[in-house]
Amino acid sequence: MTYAAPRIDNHPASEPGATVRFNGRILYLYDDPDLVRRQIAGEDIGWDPARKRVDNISTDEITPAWVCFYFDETLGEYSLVGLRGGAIERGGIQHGGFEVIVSGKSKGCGSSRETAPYSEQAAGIRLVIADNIEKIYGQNSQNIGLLTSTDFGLIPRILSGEAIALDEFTRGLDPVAADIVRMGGLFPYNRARLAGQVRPPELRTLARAMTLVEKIIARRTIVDAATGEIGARAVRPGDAVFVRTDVRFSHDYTTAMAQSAFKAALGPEAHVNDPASVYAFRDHLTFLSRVMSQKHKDMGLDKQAGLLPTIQREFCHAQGIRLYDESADGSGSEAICHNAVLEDIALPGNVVVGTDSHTCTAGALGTFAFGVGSTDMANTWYTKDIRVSVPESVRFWVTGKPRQGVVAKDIMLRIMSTPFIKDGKAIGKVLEFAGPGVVALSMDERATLTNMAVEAGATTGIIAADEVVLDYLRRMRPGIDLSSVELLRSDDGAKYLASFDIDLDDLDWMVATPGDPRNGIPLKDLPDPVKVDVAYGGSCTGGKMADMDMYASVLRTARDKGLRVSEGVAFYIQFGSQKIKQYAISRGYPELFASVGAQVIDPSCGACINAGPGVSTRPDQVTISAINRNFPGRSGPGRVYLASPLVVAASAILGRIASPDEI
Amino acid sequence: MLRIAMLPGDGIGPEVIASTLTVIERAGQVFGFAIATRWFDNSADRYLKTGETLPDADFQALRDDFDAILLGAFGDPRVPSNIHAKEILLGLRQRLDLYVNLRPVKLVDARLCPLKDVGPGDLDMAIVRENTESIYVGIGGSFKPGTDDEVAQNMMLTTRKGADRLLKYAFELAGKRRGRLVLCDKANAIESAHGLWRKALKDMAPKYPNVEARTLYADVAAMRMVTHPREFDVVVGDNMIGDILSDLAAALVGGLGLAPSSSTHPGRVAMYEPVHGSAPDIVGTGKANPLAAILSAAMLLRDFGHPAAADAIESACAQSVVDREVTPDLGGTLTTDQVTARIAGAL
Repeated sequence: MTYAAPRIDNHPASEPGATVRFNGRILYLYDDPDLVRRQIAGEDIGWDPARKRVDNISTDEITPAWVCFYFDETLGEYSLVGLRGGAIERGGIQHGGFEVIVSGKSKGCGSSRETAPYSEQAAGIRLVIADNIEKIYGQNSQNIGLLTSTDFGLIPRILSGEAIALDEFTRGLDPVAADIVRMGGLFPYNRARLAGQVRPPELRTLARAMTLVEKIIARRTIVDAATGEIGARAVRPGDAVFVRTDVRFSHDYTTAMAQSAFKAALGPEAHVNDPASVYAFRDHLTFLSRVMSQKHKDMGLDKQAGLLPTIQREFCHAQGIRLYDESADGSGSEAICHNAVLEDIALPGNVVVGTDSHTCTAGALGTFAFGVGSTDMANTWYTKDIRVSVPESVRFWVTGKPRQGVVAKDIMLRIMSTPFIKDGKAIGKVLEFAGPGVVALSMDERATLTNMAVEAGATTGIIAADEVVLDYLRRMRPGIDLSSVELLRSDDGAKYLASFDIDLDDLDWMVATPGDPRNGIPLKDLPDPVKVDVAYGGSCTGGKMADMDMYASVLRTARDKGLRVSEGVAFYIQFGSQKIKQYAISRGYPELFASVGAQVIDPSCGACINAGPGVSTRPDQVTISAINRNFPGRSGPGRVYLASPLVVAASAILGRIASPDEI
Repeated sequence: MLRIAMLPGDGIGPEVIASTLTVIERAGQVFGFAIATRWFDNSADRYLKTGETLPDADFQALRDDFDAILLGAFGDPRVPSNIHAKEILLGLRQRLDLYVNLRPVKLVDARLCPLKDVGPGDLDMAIVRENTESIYVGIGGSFKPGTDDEVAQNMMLTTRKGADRLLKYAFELAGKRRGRLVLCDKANAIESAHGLWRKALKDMAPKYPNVEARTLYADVAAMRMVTHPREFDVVVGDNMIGDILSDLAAALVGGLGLAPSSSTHPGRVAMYEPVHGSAPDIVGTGKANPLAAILSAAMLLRDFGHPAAADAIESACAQSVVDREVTPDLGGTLTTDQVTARIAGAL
């Protein structure tokens, strides 16, 4: 990975008056593929502001999913190979001598993948100009030092050879983001910050009643980066701070790219800061080759994907990082990262960051846990802290007692279906779950709530730790010393963006209809019987010990009644970790599952990320699944309904979506 | 039901009192209490029109029908020597015998402190000023005025009863704060009037073993307030000494724009007012800083059983100052209404 941009003319970049000059070609992505093709071939078409440009270039077009198995400067060869119209082929951008790329509205929409701006930068691009720049793509660009602008007036000035003031690229940014751009990316910024040469804005928040997450952030806020002093008296939503992390982790899909960025910025010999609190997981792609298409295998992607765990293994070995690898006996992963963080790693009050959106699962332990990108992870390997804009909290106060068989997944699908969440108002917020209805839940069930917070677009979910958590920790980690653990809770009078009362007394079995986890409706409101082709019980959400108990309770009843998995239904049950597998074995679950025709799979993320047995293979197939999200394509081309483990098991037996009391 | 009489007065007084009413009504909604208010037009306008300052009917209503009075500001260039202001303010003070003048002074933002290396937490004191006696009793006059032999004199008057009742208030306040009380006087020069204060202090101190009481000459106290502000908790002085030291202390935390006050006599209607003047030059410009009036209302709410609301208003004001979301006099760019909306919104 290169850190070429912004190549400041007159150092230091942090001082006023720094300028940047562009000498390479400008690529105009006009709506006419032929015009693009001619520029790639070397012709200079010229700038015409009136000509229609390509709008909505998604990160999927910049780096299609199959390109994401590449993780280093090789990405430069593949930049924009997915652009509609097919005008750009492998190497097209890289060999065209371009430094500036110009397009229309919403550049970088779609997935948050960082490979997109990386590929452009690796292809030689230093400046992206578009009508507007999508938020996450823009942030990812800032982090790697790729300049962005929405000012087409720059084009004639660049063509005339003018040196452009760096300040023109920082207008409207918050102070930290402006410094990151000025310094050429997150690594240079952090280097300066640790040296005391640059500081985030002074924290001005006075003592106030705080929510649980605000309290954790305040305690872990870096007060002085140079000395490492932490602890602010208070924070409030919007405060821009860096917080000391307690747990950092990445997995096989992301470690390779993060280590590439880490080494590019700090050199091949650089050491990870405090490797004892860093973890890596071989969990996402463990069973990928079992389901990869022949077409992609023919393209060599199987081999490329096979490099990812190897590089992760080498990096962890060199750095002294604890790697949860594949089991030595070949029986899948040691653990899905989120399950291991709960079972083995995090403690209440911790700050946990992982390169995965479901990092929020650890909020069930009373931690502030959230997903970050590869560049953020590479930086936090270096600094041990992470940039946080203090999020607002939304409280769900849960009361009442649900009927027999209505469980956490039903509660969460109910919460997810509230207008507040459906309208996107929870995006970037913290979902705090509290009240007697939450206190009554077991640890595994609580984790289902926090795990799915991200499906609401939330930064994270959290539940105040209590005796249930401490008992869980004593059980999972025998001999653990919990004397230093403080059970934090939100202050009385803490301010929430909104607070909702959820009553469990009248809650029924829920399903989320295909397309979005927020499509929750009571199962009985499904208009017609829904025939099922695939049933899947597994993942970080539905592969925990309590989930195994639920599959077992339904399947035991089925077996006692002489029922089996319905003809034409493939039912897979996959463990979240080896610990969970051992738990299931100790209770005889694998034999029980097999006896009614369910297939048991070793631990991995598997079908939940479309990378293992249990995925659909045709668009007309219907899956009932205990996983966390059912966005189109998430688990194969078919239609995915989400439901609780009990409903998944009952549906597998009856061949249609059904409640457990029908068995 | 909390009954509050509003006396907005002159100049920016009506503007800051309108702001204050917005904030305390919002506090009432949030913290669940009701307020009944009545506006009194005891202003320079009225005086110029009718010659009235504080008619007996108004005084009796204020005395009998309200828990508290909230004053804005008094003073108008059209009224010679502000006779109306004197009659209203001194009239209320004397006729109600409001002997305690409390001036809390707390630093919330180091930026506003003219001392170096002093930050929030270093400066938090309460000046308790005797409000009815001393040299302000108006006993005195001139002999042979306008001649070369002119002689002028004022009598400084301390009563034992007056000293005792103020000290009792101050000791009790110190017991609720950090337990440190200092009597400031000039007993070395004003041996009788200020000597009586020292005697009263000496007699009362044993009744409050949890309060550390001491005395300081006022000139030394002024010096140490600047050099060692952390030493001060409750500062007691007679009317003149309290007058001088309270303005000095206010200057250490951002000036009169952040200085609230109360004038009370336990059991009687209590009076709350910002210390600043009527600022006729900025009337209607939106530059009037409402914080001192709002902070005065917070003192009112605390005294009348709503400490949580008082804390919330004070926190919101402090956060506004620290965020520079304030009027230009405190280094901000907001208008009176914007500051008011921000504080009300933060509750």
